[in-house]
Order: sequence, then C-alpha cells, then structure tokens
Amino acid sequence: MAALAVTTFPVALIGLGAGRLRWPLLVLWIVLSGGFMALLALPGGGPDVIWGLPLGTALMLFVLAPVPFVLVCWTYAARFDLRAEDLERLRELRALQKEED
Amino acid sequence: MPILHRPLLVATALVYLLVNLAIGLWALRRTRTPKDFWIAGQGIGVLTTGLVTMAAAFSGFVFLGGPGLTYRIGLTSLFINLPIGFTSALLGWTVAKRLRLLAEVREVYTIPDALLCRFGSRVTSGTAAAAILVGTVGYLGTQLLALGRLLEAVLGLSPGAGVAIGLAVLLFYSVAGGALAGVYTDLFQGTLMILAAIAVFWCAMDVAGGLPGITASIAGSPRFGRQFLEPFGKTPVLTALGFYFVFGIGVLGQPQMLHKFFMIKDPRRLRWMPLTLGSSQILCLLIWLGLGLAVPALVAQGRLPALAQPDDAAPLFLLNFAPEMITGLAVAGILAAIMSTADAFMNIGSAVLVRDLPKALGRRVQRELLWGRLATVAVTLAAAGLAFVYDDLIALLGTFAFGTFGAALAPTLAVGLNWQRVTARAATASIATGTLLNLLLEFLGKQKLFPALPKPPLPPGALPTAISLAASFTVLLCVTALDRRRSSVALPADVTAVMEA
Repeated sequence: MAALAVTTFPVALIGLGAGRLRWPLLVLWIVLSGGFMALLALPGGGPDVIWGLPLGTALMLFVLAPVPFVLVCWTYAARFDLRAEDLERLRELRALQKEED
Repeated sequence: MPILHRPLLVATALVYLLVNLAIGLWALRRTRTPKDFWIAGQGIGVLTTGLVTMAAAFSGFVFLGGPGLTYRIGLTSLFINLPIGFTSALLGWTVAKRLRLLAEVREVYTIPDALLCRFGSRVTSGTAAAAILVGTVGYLGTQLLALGRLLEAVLGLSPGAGVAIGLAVLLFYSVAGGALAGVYTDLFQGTLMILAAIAVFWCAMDVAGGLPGITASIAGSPRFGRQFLEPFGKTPVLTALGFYFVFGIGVLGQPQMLHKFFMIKDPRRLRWMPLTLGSSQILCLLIWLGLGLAVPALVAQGRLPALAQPDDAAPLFLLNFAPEMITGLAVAGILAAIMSTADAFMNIGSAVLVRDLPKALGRRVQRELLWGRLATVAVTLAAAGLAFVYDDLIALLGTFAFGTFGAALAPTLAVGLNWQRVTARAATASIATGTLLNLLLEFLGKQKLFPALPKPPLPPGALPTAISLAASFTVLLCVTALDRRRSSVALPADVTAVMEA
C-alpha cells in the first residue's frame, strides 16, 4: 500500500498541474508502480543479472530513473503550451491591475 | 576531515575563490535595482536556469554525505535519487510555470510574494516567510560550517580561518551582486560540479576494477555482502519508501530551487527546463553512485582501511586513489556545491527580512537594494554565529531543513497554485502544520540535549519528514473541504489567468 501510495501521489500531482495528459501519465504510473511492486516482490533483490547487480537494483538504475525521465521530459516539452498571445494577455491584465491600484 | 593540504589543491581552491570574487565584481556594476538583486533582473536563459537550479539544490551532501550514506546503508540510499526521473517535470508542471507567470503579472520576487498574490493573505505569506527563515538558518549554517572545514583542510589553516575566508568571499559576491552574482557564480559552480562528478565517477570505476569487479568485491566481502547491493538491503522498506516520497515530493517546497524560476527571461523557454535541470542533476549524481560503490569495494579489496567516519569516503578516495588533477577538480566541485547552496540561501534569507516579513506586517521597506545588501550580511553572520555557538543544534536544523521546506511549502505550492478552491486558511494551516510537526518530530527523534523528552511514537523505519509532509497535505485538503462549505472567494482576474494558463 505504501509503495502504491508513494508512486501514485507524484503522478496525481502531475495530473493536477498538467491537466489533460492521460496516456503519458498512465504509462508513468505503470512504470513506477509496476517497478516498485517488482522490487518488493523480488526476494533479496532477485538474481544477479548484469555486471553482478541484483535484478531489483538493475531495475532501479536502468528503468525506474531513466524511463520516467525520458517520458516526462519529452511529454513536458511536447505538450508545453504557452503562446505569445497568452503572455500578451497576462501583460494586459498586469496593466489593468496597476490602473486599479 | 582528512588534511587535503597539497600545492595543487591549494592553488585550485585559491583560483576558484578568485573567480568567484571576479564574478561578484562584475555583478556589482550590473546590480542597480531590487529586481536585479533579488531575481537577477529576470534575464537568464533556460540552460542557465537548469544549471543554477541544480547547483542551488545540490549542496555538499551530494558530494560528501551521499557516498558516506551509501557506505553506511548500501544502495538503498539510491531511493533518495530515484525520483530524479520525474521531479524536474513535476516541478515544471505544478509550480515553475505558475510561479514564473505570477512574476509576469505582479511584482513577485520570492515565494512568500507569490503566496501573497495567490491567496491575498498576509498571514499565509508571513507564515511561509517564517518557515523559510527557520530552514534558511539551518541550511546556511551547515553550509558555512562545511565550507569552513573544507577550506581549513585544503588550505591548512587554523580552525576559524577557513570559515573567515569562505565567509568573506561569499559575502563579497552575494552582497555586491545579489542574485545576479549568485546566478553567474552558480553557473560556474554548477559546471564545475558536473565536470568533477563525471571525472570522479570515471576514476572511481577505473580504480576499483569496473562495475563487475566492484560488485564482485562487495558481494564477496563479509563486511558488506550482497545485501549492500540489494534495493532494500538492511534498511526497512518503510525508510526506503520514505526517502522516495520525501525527496520526490519535498522538492516542490525548496525555495532555493523555486526562486530560480522567477529569473528566467522568457517563460516560454520553460519548455526545456525539465530536460536541462534533470540532465544536470543526473550527471552530478554520478559522483554519489561512483564513490558509493567504489569506496566499499576498495575497503572489501583491502586497499583502503574500513572508514571510521563514513562521510570521509569521498576525501579518502580522492587523497589515496585519484590523480591530483581530478582531486583538484573534485575539491573545487565540492566547494562549488557548498557555496552555490549557501549563496542561494543568503539571498533568500535576506529577502525574508527585507521583503517578506515587512510585507506580512503591512509595511514596505524603502531603499530595498541597500537594505537587501545589509540584510544579506546580517543573515549570513547570524547563521554563522549560531552555527559556531550552537553547532549541534544548527547541524540538526540543517539535516532536516530539506524536510522542513518540503513539509511546509510543497502542499500549498503544488496544490494551491493549481486548484483554485484552496483557501488562504487551508494554506496557512498546512504551512504551520508542516513546519511545526517536522521540527517537533525531528527534534524529538534526534536531540540528546534533554534525555527526559520522549522519542516520537512513529512506526519502525518511518521518516518523521514523510509523516509531516503527509500531514501537511492532509491538513491542506481537509481545511479546503471545510472552507468550501462556508464561503468561496473569487480570485483576482490576473491570478486566475495564471492558474488557467
């Protein structure tokens, strides 16, 4: 339960901040929660798989950090939405606010 | 700390300090307004933002404490770094864009400024300012102590002289150039940190026999054993999950990082912030992984005696195994990590005294630039003085300053800047709960001054900061739910536009 909570919570916060982001968030949640479930399910970290590292540790180093990084950085850049018109509108609001003050 | 007094290291440290002084001198001529002093004139690019945010976030703990912690508890320590996969984008989605856009519509230079705009409550911004001041004293005090000890070890100085030199350099560039000097020294320092981390990682892997050799040595050693390499090793699962939660979510409340988002020139460039910040953090963390694995392997191989102090892992490796050039680079990198965090807090602490607390009291300081410079001196000398007089207490405050910031500010910023229904009362209650509960739990858990006081009643392995952070989120949501039934306050049009952008 704690593992599910700590992996779901950041995804939920991203959802709150990012709005409509279904598939990337679902993939992120599956990677994080699935990864943590696997870590917990592997007794003693599992068998050695690469360079003498237990499977669980390899999962941490080569999946649980880099995969979310690539996924969220790419998604963030691809979905980032702030146009010149939006900024112009905000600056107009600033001018209005100054007049009111 | 072992003595690092060697000619090349002395020269490296002196050149490093001189470069910082030169940047301070350069920034002095360009710092003309409070905007220059607090947010570097809001004129920096996205690559610089990423690097300086990393430099401010990563203190000497990454270079010295991280390898030491790994030596002590094994690769479970990596749960602290694991959230790096999503934290930079989490920052981007939840707070960076909102904070920067608030600075577009209002005069927002600090986190309490942003909270004042969002919630329209001086109680909320004042509570946040008080929490920031407490954390700043702890963080800054520990950085100054670490800086003094490192300079003493490198320059071969008497106790106190190292702190005096470090303080003098820090004060010169921070007072003269404020955030502008902070940004460009941090850029220099962040670059050094990355170069040092890559060089030391490569050297550590090479010296200790490559990753297969390292893991074989550790797994075959009675001292460490295979458990050292396992994800949970000897550490309780709850502690590992607590690390992940605290460092994954607590990052949203770190003012030394968030403050940098006000400084970016064009908010549209924030598109690339997670990539630049995350990449620089990953590169820097190579030193943690490299030394965290290589030093136990060298001990297991009998090439290094077992460490009496785990935090000596990095200095002992550098002294005994690294070529002098790499040691010089690493010493500069460690100095950079400490000083870049310290200068960020000097600026933030001074802003609390000159902007945030007076505004919370309904006053406005005239001649803000002058008072900002004086407050930088005051906050730094106060933190240094407290760190010397109450070194145990300040070290204690420093160790849980990250958690205090996280528990105090993360819920209000992450949820409050994205959900319009969060009320000022909820934000104030959450900030107060996070700050006080974290200070109380951490103090009770670690203090030795008053033996009669009880230990906090926490489950085995539970991190006090994780409890405080969870409690702070819970209070924010519960008070918001209660307030919804009473009344709803319309937000100003510009703040609504920022939250919907």
